[in-house]
Amino acid sequence: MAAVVGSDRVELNLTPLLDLVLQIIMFFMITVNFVSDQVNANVTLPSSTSAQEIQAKTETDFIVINLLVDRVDRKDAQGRTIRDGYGRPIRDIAQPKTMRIIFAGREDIVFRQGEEGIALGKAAKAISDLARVLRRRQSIREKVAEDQIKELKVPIIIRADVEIQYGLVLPLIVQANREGFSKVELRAQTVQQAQR
Amino acid sequence: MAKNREKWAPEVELPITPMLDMFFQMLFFFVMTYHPSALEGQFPINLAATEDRAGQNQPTNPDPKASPRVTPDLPHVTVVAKAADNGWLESVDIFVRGGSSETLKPPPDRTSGSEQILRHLTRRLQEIKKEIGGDDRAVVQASGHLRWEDAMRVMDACRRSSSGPLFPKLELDLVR
Repeated sequence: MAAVVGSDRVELNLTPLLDLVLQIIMFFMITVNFVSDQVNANVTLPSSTSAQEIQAKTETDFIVINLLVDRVDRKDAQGRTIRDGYGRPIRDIAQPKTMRIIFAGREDIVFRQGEEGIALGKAAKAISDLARVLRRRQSIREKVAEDQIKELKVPIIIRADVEIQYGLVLPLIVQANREGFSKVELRAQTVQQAQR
Repeated sequence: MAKNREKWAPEVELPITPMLDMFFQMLFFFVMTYHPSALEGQFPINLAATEDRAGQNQPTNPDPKASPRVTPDLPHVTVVAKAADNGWLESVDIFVRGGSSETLKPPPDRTSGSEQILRHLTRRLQEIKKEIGGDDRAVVQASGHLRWEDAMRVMDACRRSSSGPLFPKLELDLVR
């Protein structure tokens, strides 16, 4: 705040504030990550010490397959949500255990324990349908016949919850590869993030 | 002309307030859209081999204690992670082509036990890596009902130790 001596006029010096705000904006602009609507925030990813930094995507398209388990917030005797030291709600697996496979943020396969086989059948069909659409699109873009396309360039990203069975994840990877998706990525929390 | 302008020069004030308003709006937008998921990492797997071999490397003998059929084109090391009925990691078997096999089992206390077994696995794989030399591939077979978290921890233990990479090219398979 600066006051002119001998004058009634008081001027608020906004310049340092503006500098500060600009710097904060700069920080957020650099670190901003527009979360795709395909990414489901309810997936609790496993932590991994060997997970690598995500490479900057050159592709404009990608398909995210989320595999998750339904969870509910843990409540205390008064019905209030119990939170951990970071203020995040502690969540337990909902009973009966219900799982979901969500394709590209749209198709939702809901199933319970014991129905994994049916769910995997539906998932295989969904991957096959996706592959057909993408193959057609790629053939138009590259001006080649559909049957000449051996590899689909759109990457598949698999985000599986810690409580999902290995036997649900592997068949999806194999099916995706069988349908011609040459890039399949698994996602995990980096250990630094998991420790927060 | 220039002289005139100097004479008539009015006091120019730049109105900072609307700009500041706009910056605050931008700041609010970025604060709200900031998401820590940027710290997600990708976990590489050897996809082509996974596709080729998935299901091929199954033991033909129904005896659950039998070792997996290890064919000559497979990597030297096969790690088999078995799950207990509740899906938690129960034991890990290490098979070395043309060599030994051993089973690592945790003590009854599950949490510390699985940590111990994974540390032991990494230590053994370090020794095996020294013996077999350059092959940086390994097959990880796991029970279908193994929890994904435990499967990922086994894969982590196979990929790298604290002193450096072990078998970074993993091929995934199922134990049925």
